[in-house]
Amino acid sequence: MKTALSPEGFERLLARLDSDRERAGARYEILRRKLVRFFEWRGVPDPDELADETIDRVARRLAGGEEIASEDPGAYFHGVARNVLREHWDRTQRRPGDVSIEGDLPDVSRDDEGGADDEPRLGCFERCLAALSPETRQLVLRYYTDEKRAKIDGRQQMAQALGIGLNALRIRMFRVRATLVECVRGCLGGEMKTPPPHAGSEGGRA
Amino acid sequence: MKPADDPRRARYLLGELTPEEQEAFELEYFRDDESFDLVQAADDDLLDAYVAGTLDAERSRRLREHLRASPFRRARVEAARAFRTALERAGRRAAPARRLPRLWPSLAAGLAAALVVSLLGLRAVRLDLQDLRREHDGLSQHAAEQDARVAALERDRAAASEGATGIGLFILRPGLERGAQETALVSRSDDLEWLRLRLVLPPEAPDTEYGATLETPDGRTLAALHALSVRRSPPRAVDVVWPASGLAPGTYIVNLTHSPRAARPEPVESYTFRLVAAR
Repeated sequence: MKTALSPEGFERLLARLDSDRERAGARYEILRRKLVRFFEWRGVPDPDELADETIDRVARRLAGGEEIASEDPGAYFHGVARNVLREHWDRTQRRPGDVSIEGDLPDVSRDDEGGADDEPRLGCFERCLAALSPETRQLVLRYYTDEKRAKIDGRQQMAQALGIGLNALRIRMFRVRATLVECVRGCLGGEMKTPPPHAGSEGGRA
Repeated sequence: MKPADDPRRARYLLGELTPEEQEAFELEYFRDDESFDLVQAADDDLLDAYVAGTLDAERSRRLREHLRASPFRRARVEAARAFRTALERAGRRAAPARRLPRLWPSLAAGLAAALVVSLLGLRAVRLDLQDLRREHDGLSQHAAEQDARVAALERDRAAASEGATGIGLFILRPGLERGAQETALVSRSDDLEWLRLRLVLPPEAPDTEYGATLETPDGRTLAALHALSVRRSPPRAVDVVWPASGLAPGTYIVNLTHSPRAARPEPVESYTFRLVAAR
């Protein structure tokens, strides 16, 4: 159920997010990303579609003269998204919890070296890793390689060594990884997007 | 201030929160970008644990339930698996130069003596006995293999010293960092015109063509060689020869790759050595 976003509705939406048009565009992108991941985490097969539907619905309301009463548009979007999700479940008559896990569910956790199909992706990951600055690459290797307790301890030590909190380290490394994932996407699409040498201090989001 | 370890993140991602907790949690990340990034980071960690097989059975089952419904999530799992494999490969590539001195300090001393006894003599080797005991357990068979390598090394050294005029032959093995404090150095005399390095292949390396680059530690490539074939007589190795005259004393890295002329040469091994002026 795709609806068109009217220019007027979109303008009103941006204006509500921030008075500065550039910042409003950035806010819009983040909000859309939140919506996509919200629907993804809630087990929706096509989260992009429901994210767009949510945005359309908010824009239509704004174009129709409705005001967002809440101080924070994020909370308003969340409320609309929950309604969209509920309607989606009513339409499809199923929720993630309704799915039987018996049968032919593939075990995607297999931990081998990857099949032949993964080789291009692996090659791209290696190229993108190699394009990071040596310091950032070393951080990535240290942050992601251990398991369980060793991983927890290692990350705490890293945060201490960098003089930042654990959450700040998590966010920093998440952004480096997001930059890498972007680079891999570009590489697989034939366009190698080199991550910035110090990716992570200014990196993007997934 | 957000708690460093908020258990709600993993519980939310696995659908374990009550409806009220879920709504409150979502409201937080819709309002706050940092909270959103932390949930995404927790999702990466969750999928990493899943592909590593370190997630407990019940949580794996829950996650599979979500994966079944979501092609997006399945794609993220595939990406997490590729990420993990790429990191493992990168880690293996970075580790060998450090590994052998810790694993085999006494053996490293033996190799060092065999390599340069005629050039510099034996340097003292520091032994970390506790590490040694721990790491030597169960590796006796490996030790026998290494002894055989030392014998082969001594034969190589003897052969090299027979006709060496203006060419220095030095043997570098996987994982042996020549020039570190515990090991020997590659000695460069004034009359040395060519530096010949025998790069001993790791056991699993196939008989194929290789490429090699000589690099400085800061990544500057000084020279590159292509289409190098494997030396047939033991030890299985690739020989490279570079002009020695332009090489100043210092540390160098030789990177050995497969398919050197392909777009993406695959790293095989790195060898580090320190070049010093002969006394």
